Amino acid sequence: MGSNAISIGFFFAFMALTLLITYWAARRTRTTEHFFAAGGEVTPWQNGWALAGDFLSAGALLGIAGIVTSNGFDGMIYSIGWLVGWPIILFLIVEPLRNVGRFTFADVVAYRLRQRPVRVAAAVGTLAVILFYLIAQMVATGSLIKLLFGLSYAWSVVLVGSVMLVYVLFGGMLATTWVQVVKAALLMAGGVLLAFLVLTHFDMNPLKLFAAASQKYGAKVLQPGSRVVSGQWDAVSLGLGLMFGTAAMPHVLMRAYTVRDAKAARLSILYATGLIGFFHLMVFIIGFGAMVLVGPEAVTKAGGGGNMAAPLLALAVGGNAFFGFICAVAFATMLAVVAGLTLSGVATLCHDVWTNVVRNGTASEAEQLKVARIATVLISVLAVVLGVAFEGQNVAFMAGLAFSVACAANFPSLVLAITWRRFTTSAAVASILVGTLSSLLLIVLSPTIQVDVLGKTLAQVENAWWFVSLRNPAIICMPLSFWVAIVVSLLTTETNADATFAALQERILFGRAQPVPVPRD
Amino acid sequence: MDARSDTATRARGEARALARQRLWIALGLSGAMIVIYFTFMALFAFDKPLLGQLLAPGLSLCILLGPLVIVSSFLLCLVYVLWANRVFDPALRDLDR
Repeated sequence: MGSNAISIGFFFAFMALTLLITYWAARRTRTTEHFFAAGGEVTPWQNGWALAGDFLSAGALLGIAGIVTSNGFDGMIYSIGWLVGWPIILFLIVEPLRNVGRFTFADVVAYRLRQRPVRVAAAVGTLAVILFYLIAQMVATGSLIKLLFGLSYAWSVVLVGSVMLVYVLFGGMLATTWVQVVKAALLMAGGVLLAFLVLTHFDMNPLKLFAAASQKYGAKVLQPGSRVVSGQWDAVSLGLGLMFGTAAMPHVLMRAYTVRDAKAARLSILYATGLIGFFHLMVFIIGFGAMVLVGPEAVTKAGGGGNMAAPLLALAVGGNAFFGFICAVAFATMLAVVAGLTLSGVATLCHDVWTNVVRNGTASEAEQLKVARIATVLISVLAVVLGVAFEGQNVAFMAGLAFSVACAANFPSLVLAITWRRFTTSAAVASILVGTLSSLLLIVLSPTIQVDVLGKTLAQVENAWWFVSLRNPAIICMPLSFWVAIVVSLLTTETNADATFAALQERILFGRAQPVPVPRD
Repeated sequence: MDARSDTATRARGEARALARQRLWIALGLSGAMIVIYFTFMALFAFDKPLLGQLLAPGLSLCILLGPLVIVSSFLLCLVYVLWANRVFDPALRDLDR
């Protein structure tokens, strides 16, 4: 197929460029500060693009466009949910995070508390989020590459795993940042062009496009339905998980450290919000464009669970070359997202677990870098092995699970650590563990696992005493985690944490220039 | 000696007031975002017919409100950043001196 050759051509151009960037970045990556935070030298504008690159997975373009194509408006519920967490990051989290922490969000939670227990718990929460999200991305990547390029599933996963390993291992945060920037620019350009070409068929008026869709497939495509999100409380719970989960995603939070100061971090979140919001508006047009110009039947027939909507639309409005370009962009997108995820997992393993728990904060630079590189290889191998092992499994729930754990485990402890004097070590540990385990448990007992994965019928399980009808556990787990944190805090006292609250507040305002309290524990 | 510790106390008080002011603005804007988003999600969950009303050919209420939620998230961010850059940062710099 000619288009295949074109997309492979585009893909190799992207690989060549990003590997060149990695080579350049590798020579500048000499310290952990460089490896995990690009030396704090990224500009807000670059970081905004990199955040958009980190956050916009292939699901944002291919997945949402596919949902819109087959269901109409309902796809937008995801677009909106993935955006509304960003203002929360900006208002409540990014400046304290930047001023107090160094590489991970556990830096902030552990600041006043006992380092070891808090960091171990935070590592559990973070690694759970990263691993679920990574598996979801890997499996989606494998099957999409199989579909787009005709490469076998296992080889696709191995290929993506090795390239991401090269980016992170040699180039650290600097290379990963630039890979994200390049990818986000390509994704944005592809999205704008695709939406523009769609609109030329409708006098540049989106309303004409929507009208054409409702003429062809009925007014229901413009109305909220219940096929994408079923229950009423499930919809609210999904919203909760998307909003506060986004605000506690480790790979997003980590980018607060790549810029010079809190002001730059603040600006980068603003830019990222604008870019991601704009992109989601275009995806909405692309989805409806595919509905009218390609047709949901053709998209379903192409396979991949609706993921082919955007590429097929590109073929219809821009020909073979554009189809190849969009496929290559999708590939670049997957590669960049897994690289960002891997790096934040590495930061947790190396900085939180090794340096601050195992070595009690005394590891040398050289040792930390070595551990970081070993952790990179470990996570990459794990991602590839799990990616191959889960071939053909329904893992769509894993992305949702990642958001749910982030919102129930990481968000409450982060917010309380910043704002509440009474918050204690036991409370942080309890809240993170309860948030993680309750999310896991509720998903296992929900129709997501029982019906979709284990293949039981709803009638078989719905009367069991343990059955949970909610597919999205956030509405239970997040309040539960807050409740545990507050109750345990009130039951325990920690004089040290109490005494350092004023120092923390000062540090939140003025940043690291203030004298650092002596590490305890 | 006394005068110096006086200034230090005053500076600390001002820093605390500034921190409190930022917290209130941050909480207010977060509250606004939460209200906007969950009003929309509540309508989506509990009143689908209302959101499905057609306002014009090709335009239903949800297709109007959905993008507005996206635009309003960005505008709220913009409000915060403008305030922080114009009011908060200069006040903080004054304190830091």
